[in-house]
Amino acid sequence: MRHRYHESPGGARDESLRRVSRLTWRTSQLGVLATVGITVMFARTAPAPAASIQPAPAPTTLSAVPTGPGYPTVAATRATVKPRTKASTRSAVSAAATAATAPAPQTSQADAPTVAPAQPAPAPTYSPSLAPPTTAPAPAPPSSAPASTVSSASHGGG
Amino acid sequence: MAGTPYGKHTRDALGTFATVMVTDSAALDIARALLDGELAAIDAACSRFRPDSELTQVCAASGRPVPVSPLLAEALSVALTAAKITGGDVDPTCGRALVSLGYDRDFTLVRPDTSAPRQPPIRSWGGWRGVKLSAAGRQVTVPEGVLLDLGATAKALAADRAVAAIAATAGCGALVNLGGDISVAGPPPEGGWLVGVADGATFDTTTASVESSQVIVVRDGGLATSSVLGRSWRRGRTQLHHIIDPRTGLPARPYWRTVSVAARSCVDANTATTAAIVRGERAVNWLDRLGLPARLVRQDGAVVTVAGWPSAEGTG
Repeated sequence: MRHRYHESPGGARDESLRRVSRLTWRTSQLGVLATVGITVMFARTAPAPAASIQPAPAPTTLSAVPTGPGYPTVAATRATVKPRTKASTRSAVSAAATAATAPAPQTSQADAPTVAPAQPAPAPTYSPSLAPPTTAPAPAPPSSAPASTVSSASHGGG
Repeated sequence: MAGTPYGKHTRDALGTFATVMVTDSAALDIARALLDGELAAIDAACSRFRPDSELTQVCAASGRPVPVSPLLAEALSVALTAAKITGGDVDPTCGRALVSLGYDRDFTLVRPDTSAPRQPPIRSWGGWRGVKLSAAGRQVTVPEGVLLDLGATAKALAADRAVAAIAATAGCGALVNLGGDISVAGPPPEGGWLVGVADGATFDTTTASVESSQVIVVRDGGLATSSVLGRSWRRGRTQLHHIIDPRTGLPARPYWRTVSVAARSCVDANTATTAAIVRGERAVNWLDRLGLPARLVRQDGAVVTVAGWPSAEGTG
């Protein structure tokens, strides 16, 4: 093609202008496509980060039942603390959904009535978490009475 | 006087003893009733020795899903969580191993039989992973051939549930002791609850008393003691005990003779004591890392305390 430039300078200029025009048009097309693609990508991924932030409330709902400082935290809480994958996000959502269908939260000890009702208060749900006591055991004062009860290995029974 | 309960009652239950104490003597009757109800319920749901218990029905279902009561679902959930957080050291699927060692009936009937074991050891390592509890907790599936034993956690759960119900219903401080698994709730008596800690095997069933090695003050949470001395029996020439190492299907190597742990609940405490017996020497660092106050007694009687357990001996 280069030989044409030498043959006709006006024709070569026209050819160059056509090329620039085509290039501009292609660039515009690519820009539109990229914009649409990025928009679609954001539209699809935007809700995911929002969901992965949700696990925070999960412990509250999971403990559906644990109340007051004397109760262990629900082990499932630990699982929802690390929502690194879609799977963990799903499990957190699932756990929250489960909690939503659970019975209403129980009365905490702090809210316990001072007058004994006819029926026993609903018991909280327990799940081991290997948590230490709120108050560590202390040595008995030298002048204290004999122990009223004993923690020992179980003898007999099943 | 510090630690003196205002109301106390002891009775036989679950093959051992059950003690309830309340800071308001007027609440003792309701406390007894609530404890009796809880014990009856936990026995009907979780006993391995009752043919009519829910647990027996579930284990006999040949791997089919079985609807369960909320109480058994809770007990199973607690047992499976205990297995998970102890890396499988506290495994509820060790029932078959216990049976193979002769612990196939109420313990009072086990000791007199000293015949040689009739079966080889049955390992249950990781077996808890095969037990499926539905998300809603309404159905459980136990793999065929697996026999569950909730002994490590169900009694502690009963103590936690009973004492919470008593404290909430009666509106006073309460302590429940089920064969050494202790749970307290509500405002403690002035000076706290005085609790003896024992590591010997001598036990007076007529008074539910045992000689204490130490007396401590407990104000909240739970306290449990596990030992290789309490439920021990002989088969042939072999001395056995009830804490199974799931890796071997045999009683855990008796590095510790007794472990006592204080924790946020009795379930936590019992889970930790059982796992500590199985873990042996490694238990000291493990308990320390968890911050669980504990007292561990070696076979030779040497005492190790961790995480703030009162070190004074001979106070009892």
